[in-house]
Amino acid sequence: MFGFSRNTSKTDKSEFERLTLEHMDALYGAALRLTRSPKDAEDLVQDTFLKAFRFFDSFEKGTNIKAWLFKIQTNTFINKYRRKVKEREVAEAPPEDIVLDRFVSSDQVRALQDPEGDFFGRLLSDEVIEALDQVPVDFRMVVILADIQGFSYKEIAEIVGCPVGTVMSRLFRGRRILQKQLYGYAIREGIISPDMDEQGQPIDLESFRQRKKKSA
Amino acid sequence: MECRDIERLAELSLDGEIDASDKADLEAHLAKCPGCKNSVSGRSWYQAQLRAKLQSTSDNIELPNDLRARIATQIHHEAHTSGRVPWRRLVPVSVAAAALLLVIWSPQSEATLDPEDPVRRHTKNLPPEVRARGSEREVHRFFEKNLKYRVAVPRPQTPRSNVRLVGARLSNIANQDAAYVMYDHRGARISLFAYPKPKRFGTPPGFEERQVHGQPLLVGQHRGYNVVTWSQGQTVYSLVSDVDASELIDLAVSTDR
Repeated sequence: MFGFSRNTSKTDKSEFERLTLEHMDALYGAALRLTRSPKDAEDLVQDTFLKAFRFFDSFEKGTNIKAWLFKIQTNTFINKYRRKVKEREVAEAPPEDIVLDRFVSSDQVRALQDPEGDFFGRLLSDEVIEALDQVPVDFRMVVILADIQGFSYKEIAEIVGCPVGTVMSRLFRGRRILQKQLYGYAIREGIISPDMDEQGQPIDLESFRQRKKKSA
Repeated sequence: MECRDIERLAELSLDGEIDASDKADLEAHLAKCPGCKNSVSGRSWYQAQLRAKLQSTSDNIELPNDLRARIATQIHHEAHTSGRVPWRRLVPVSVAAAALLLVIWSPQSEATLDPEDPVRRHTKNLPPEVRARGSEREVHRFFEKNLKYRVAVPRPQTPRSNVRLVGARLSNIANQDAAYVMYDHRGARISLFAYPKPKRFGTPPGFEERQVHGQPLLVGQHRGYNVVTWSQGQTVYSLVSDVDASELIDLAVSTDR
């Protein structure tokens, strides 16, 4: 399955291959989005599989192998990469990007729904990825687990090692940070017309400026 | 129920995570509030679209073939060497980190020294009750006044150390009063807990003993946090943080004797 040579005798190994093979791509995809670096993602997946194999004895047969693998990978990520990723993100993001509660409104959702704009129809994978990558890592982690991998709140709590309440609030916030990114993108691309928030301020100064430049 | 509660409830509902009583409340509110009904339907549309889009981003992602081969080779190697020396050479992860996984997935262990309480207190991120303001004096005074036992506060000693004493508060570990000292390491938090030594003082599963400058330390991880524990007289000390274990070890050995 993995292309192992045929002289292996350990039965554990074929059982391990049988159960884990189908999740390799998912783990790699999640690792890419978490680390935002192909090299780190490769190292992370490699570490994950070796640890998983080494501790395969402790996997309770019949339970969710995908969740088990994601728990190992998330744990490894938190221990080895999260700090590095965080430092990189803090260096990149202007601080005002982190305070955003007042920029999240149902008006935004309505604007994205505009059939003429056909926002989701025109949105490319790369653009979604770019927007997701702007979400700070602790929030991004739960959005990836919930909305890409389809884990339940309880499974995510187990994978990340935090209470379900924390999962819920990170997911709620992570999704809104992502929404803000997508909304800013939609304005920049002229897919939807810019709107004002309740305070009468431009929704996103940066996109406002870029749009102004474009129309000038 | 008020309109401002609706957004969160609606999200739980869209995720299929709402319980029956909240669901009933939500539906009752939507039936009489056209504004909320409208915005929930917008949210529902948006979330479904976004989820589909997000999932499509991973449709074409495949593990690169050379990585697949590398993993296969290493697992092959592992299977044939009962994973002693070669594994440690191939993967630069600490044995403690790996052993942690064993702990997580195996039945509850009977450790006499449980890192769970210190780690849980650390994650709560409570504010200090007393601030250090550049010296340990206030912190010492605070503990002398509030605790029955003496607490030695580790002092970052090397001039290049990035660790700074922030303050302290009282805490509770294993149902006993505990001292909680807070440090800052370039914006990351380090917590130190001091509490009376339990009758049996054993090594938590997955922790390893290390001698640093003649001082025995138990070094390991719990729930993804690095933990360094030691005892001194009748007091146990536990450092918890997500900064490198090496920083915690430095701090541990800088305790006043």
